[in-house]
Amino acid sequence: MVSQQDAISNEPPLQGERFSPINKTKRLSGNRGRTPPTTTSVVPVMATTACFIIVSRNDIPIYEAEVGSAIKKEEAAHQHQFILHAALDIVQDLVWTTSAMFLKAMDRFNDLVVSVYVTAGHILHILMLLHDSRNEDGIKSFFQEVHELYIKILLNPLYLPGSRITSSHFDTKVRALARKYL
Amino acid sequence: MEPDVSIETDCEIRVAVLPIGGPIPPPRLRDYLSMLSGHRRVDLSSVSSFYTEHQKSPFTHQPWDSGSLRFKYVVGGAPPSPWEDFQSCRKTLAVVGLCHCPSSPDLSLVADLFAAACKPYTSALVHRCFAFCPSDSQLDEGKKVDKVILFPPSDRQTQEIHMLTMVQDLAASLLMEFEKWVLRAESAGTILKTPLDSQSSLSSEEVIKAKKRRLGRAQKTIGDYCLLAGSPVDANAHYSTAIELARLTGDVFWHAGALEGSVCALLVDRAGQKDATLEEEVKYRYYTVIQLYRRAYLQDNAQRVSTVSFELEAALKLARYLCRQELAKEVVELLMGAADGAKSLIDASDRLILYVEIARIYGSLGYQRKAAFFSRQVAQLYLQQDNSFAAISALQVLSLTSKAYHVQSRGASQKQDTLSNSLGPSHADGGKMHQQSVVSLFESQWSTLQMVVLREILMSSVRAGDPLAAWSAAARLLRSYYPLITPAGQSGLASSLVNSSERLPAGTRCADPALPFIRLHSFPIHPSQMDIVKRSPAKEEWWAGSAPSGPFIYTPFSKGGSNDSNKQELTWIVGEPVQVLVELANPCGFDLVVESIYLSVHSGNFDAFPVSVNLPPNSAKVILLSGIPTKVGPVLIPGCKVHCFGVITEHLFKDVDNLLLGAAQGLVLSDPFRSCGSGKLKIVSVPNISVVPPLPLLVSHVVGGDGAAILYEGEIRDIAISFTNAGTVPVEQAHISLSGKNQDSVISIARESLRSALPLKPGAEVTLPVTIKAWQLGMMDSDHASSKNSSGVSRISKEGSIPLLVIHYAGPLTYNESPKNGDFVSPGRRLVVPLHVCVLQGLRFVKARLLSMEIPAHVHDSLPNPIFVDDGSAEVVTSPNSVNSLVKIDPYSGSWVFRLLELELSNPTDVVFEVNVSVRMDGTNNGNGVTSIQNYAADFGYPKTRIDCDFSARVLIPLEHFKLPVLDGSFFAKESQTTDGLGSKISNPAERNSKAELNASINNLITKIKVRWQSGRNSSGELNIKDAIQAALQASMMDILLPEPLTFLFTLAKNGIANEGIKSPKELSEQTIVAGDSSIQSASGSNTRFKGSISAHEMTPMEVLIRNNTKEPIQMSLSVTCRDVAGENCIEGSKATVLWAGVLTGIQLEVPPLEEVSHSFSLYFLVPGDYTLMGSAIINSATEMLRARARTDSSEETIFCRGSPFHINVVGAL
Repeated sequence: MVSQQDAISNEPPLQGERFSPINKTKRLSGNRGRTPPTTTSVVPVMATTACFIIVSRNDIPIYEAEVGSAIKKEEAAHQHQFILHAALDIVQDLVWTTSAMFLKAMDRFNDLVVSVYVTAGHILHILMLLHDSRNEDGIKSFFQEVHELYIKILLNPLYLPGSRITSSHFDTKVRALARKYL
Repeated sequence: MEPDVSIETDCEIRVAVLPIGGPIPPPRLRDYLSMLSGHRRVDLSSVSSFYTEHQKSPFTHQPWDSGSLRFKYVVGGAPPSPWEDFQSCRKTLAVVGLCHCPSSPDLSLVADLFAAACKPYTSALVHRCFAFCPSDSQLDEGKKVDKVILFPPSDRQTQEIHMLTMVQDLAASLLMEFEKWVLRAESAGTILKTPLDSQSSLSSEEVIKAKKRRLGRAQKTIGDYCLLAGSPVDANAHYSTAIELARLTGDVFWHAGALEGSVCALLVDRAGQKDATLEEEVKYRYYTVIQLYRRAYLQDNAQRVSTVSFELEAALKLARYLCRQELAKEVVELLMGAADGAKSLIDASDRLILYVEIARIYGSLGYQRKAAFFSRQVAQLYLQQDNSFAAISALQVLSLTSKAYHVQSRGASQKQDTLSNSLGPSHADGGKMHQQSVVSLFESQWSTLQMVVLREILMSSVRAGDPLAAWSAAARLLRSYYPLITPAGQSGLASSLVNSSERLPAGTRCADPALPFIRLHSFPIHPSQMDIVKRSPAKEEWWAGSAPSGPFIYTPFSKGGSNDSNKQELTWIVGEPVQVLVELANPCGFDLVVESIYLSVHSGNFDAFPVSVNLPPNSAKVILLSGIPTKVGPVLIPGCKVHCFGVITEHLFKDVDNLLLGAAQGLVLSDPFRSCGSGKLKIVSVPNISVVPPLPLLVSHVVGGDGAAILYEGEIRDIAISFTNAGTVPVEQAHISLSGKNQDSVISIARESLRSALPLKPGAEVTLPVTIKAWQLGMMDSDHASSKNSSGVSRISKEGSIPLLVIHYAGPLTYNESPKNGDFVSPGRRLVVPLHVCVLQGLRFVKARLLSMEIPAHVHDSLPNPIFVDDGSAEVVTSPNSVNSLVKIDPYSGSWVFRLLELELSNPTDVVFEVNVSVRMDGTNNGNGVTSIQNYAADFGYPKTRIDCDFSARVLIPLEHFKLPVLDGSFFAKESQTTDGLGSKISNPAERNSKAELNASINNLITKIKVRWQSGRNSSGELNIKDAIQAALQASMMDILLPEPLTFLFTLAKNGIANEGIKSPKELSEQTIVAGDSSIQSASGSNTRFKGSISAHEMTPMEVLIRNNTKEPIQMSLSVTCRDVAGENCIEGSKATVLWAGVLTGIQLEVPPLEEVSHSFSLYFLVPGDYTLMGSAIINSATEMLRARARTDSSEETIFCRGSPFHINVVGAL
């Protein structure tokens, strides 16, 4: 009997699809033949989409921000949140299988990728980012810095953990970080 | 794409099920279909009886004892797929017609119709038409029409057996057909084409290639049929050949198909088994299949026809196969890949199917959010189609998602609610909840998503024409997310609510409440007229010790017998309307018309009265909801029923309480009440309400109007209060008591008249007179009054200062019928009647002064007046000296000191007052030495003083001298101590005791003085001057009350002709003597004077009596002086007009305690006229007490004690 690993090694594209979002796009554009592989480089400055959300226990979003440079449409923003909400299912399973806090590209829908940063409280608070950029390091740094900001919020004795973050300072900082890293 | 695919789909025989003939009633059709669809799997062993082997079967390894045929019934049929050559399972291999005989009488017509219906299904190998419920005539006819199989009318069980037989027959027929087909295909070979091939230009090369491939494809198709025939081993063999051939010819697509078939064959062969190795094998093969399909796509890049759907189907099949929690990660990967493929799908319905399948697999994996996400995608695809059926589908799909997004309708989630309900109220009761549990109440409040989903539900239900669903969605949206919706959007929702309600029948109920928000405001406590008091029948005072109904929130004496003492208890009475205050809020930007709102009572013993309310935008209102309890028992009020926007909904208080709790914690967007400007209110929990049988009800009113009686301070008035029993039960017990402030102003209550009226029958009335004396306005009041004085009348009536008449009453002691409450006693009631009195400032007291006047003592030539003999003090005084003294010795000062209390009164009111002073006397009081001439004055009608408006006047109140009786030895001891104490500030109990006695004697005096006033015809009262008098007396108390240590009295000696009582003003008082009053006294003095007088030029023997008022002996040096009218000393000096015999100066005497010592001398007056005799003494070695009395501090100072002057009138010799 051939094991699954063998099957994968037999079929390199499969492995690529499964583990590398970069390869995936290549595959998508290449395989389907709808978009030539060069399309991404044709547009030099691509409008990025990014939706950042902090989800508290019990799926309560306590902070949400559209931080992408793409033209914001309400419909799209809703769709982003729907995607992030759906990704929670996967996050909650995945979280227990790894010790990493940063779960990169753990879900995707269409061209949008969900990356997640789980705080040390594990499922208590999850920072989620829906993005289409490929800048993994940037995303990671973004998460780390936002996490710091978030901890500062948590230290506020007037802040009830689990309630909405309404601090405008936090908002400004997050948006600044998004511009910097994403 | 095909819906509901799995790996084993490949072995299912597709059967089209078509209704034939006249319309079949839906329940019937469902019934027939359920009978048919029960037979999805037909065992080969059961088929064997219908099977006849015509030729040698190609299915050599058919497992007759363990294998089975599988059917897939497609109701309504399906259009032929272009891919049916590729996968035989896509072919419709049989057609079953269902006919309901009563609606299609002509069976031959049915047969024709069925034949026509079968036409499109070219690949169908077997046709059957089942006719149900035939009539007798049809049964006869049916024998002729053999195309239609009639099911004999019988019970369900028989019919099911019949159906089983029919299906088995169908299966056998199919099996035989398959054999035929396979044999033909093996021998002749068939052209198998897919849409992939059709367009290929038939170049010679292509044709050769196609010929090569044909064999492999035929093998694959034979394999398919083997699989359908339930022979996986045969199938596997054919598939293996096919795979080999396809690989050789590079027929990638068919290679994939054959591989897929082989997996299916493998699974069917290993039916039921699931082991790791099998799973690995399946996984491996399927990944290969997916890869092959993808390559097939690659190969034919230019093709219009996409094979993506096959790739996706394969992925879905594998995902479904693997769908287990442990393999979740792998399944998710597969589904994620499949979802990516959606973009490549050309057909919208393919995408729909894909999303549906993804959602289903996620759902079965337990990923509810993912499932909901894809369901929503499905709904969006449906909504893109512009027809109502699609909208209905969208609505259904969305309502499936509503649970994952936590926006489900309450009607749908009622079952879950019943579980959580038991948890709910206890949370609310607990008051303070743990923060975490507060958070958990607002679980999954991802408002953005919820709003979008609800909006989509609303949109799809409007399109689908489901007004109730639309109403419910709009209601949920409006209620939960109004802060996030613009006012225009809110109005839009409101109008969609109205629009959908127009399409609903009147009186429709919906589980989801819309607006307004309703919270419990309060349960108004019974008005004081209806207070209920628990009755303890054992006690005489049955109301005592009952529930704290007083002004105190917490009474330590009320025993919290029950554990939940924090829970308020409320008692309602059958037949008596009750009221509950609720607060409504409309936080939206439109006018809210609540057609009716009433309390929702689930216990069924309460009639609620509906109210209609109009709430302006952004407003809150407290309204009174009322009702009548109808039956004895507990009442539960979970919320209100509201008829608003055309639909009746129930609003629970609990929900709003939770919402407010969340808002307080910052978990919910906003507090609907706060945003409407209503204040923060603590959460009111619904108390335990119990309904008790009817009780009597007393209603009071004041005869002559319930308005406040306006009284001047001190005014006395009778008020009649009538009580009526307005209940249906007689009053059997009643007790009146007083409470509140100024209780002492109620002088009398005719308790007897109430008691005698008992039992008070329903409707009966009793009148109770009460006498009230208006109390004194307090300092604050009078200040207030004086400030308002300029404006004229000042009326002060403070609600808090009025006395309250409290009546506890109860009906008969009836015991409740219910045995479990055996100790239940119908409670009593309490009626509180405030005695509404408005007290006006009356006469104003300005100041009080004590005036004293001494009327000099004169020598009497006659025996003392009977007045003095009657006088107790005179008796006591005269008894010890035992000489038949003609002159009474005043033990105190030796003269008549006459004191007057002057009261200055002003009249700030606008009426005239007449003041009348009287001093009440009674004989027994004489013993205290408080003597009053005024009793006579009162008797004689003391003149009234009239005080006009805005004037003031002085009223004189005569007081008799009221020194303390010093002759009482024990009292004197105290007295001396007091004197001592006053000087040296020594504090001891005896002193305090005596001080108290002093005060008591003053008070005693004061109480006797009554200053009555009268104003107009019917107001009269008494002036409260107690404090004023006390203040006036207090200052000079020592002088007034304490006697001099020595008193001197001059008398004519026994052998003398005339006695002379001499009076003199005490201590040369500078006080002005009020002539008016003293005139009486002096008149009486002059009367005595004329009776016995002393003549000039006569030797007048005289005595001076020196009395020691202390309890210690006093040594002194006494001297007597005599002065004439001009005040010149007329004994000494050159111009002495009086000669004397005996010693007048420097007489050394020692007076024993409380004794008198007399010293005799004689005087010879040369000139007639008035003379004054005065004794004085220098006390040797004075005691501390005397020093204190004399108010000296230094011990060196000599104490000089001087007696009162005595007048002597010397007449000329006749």
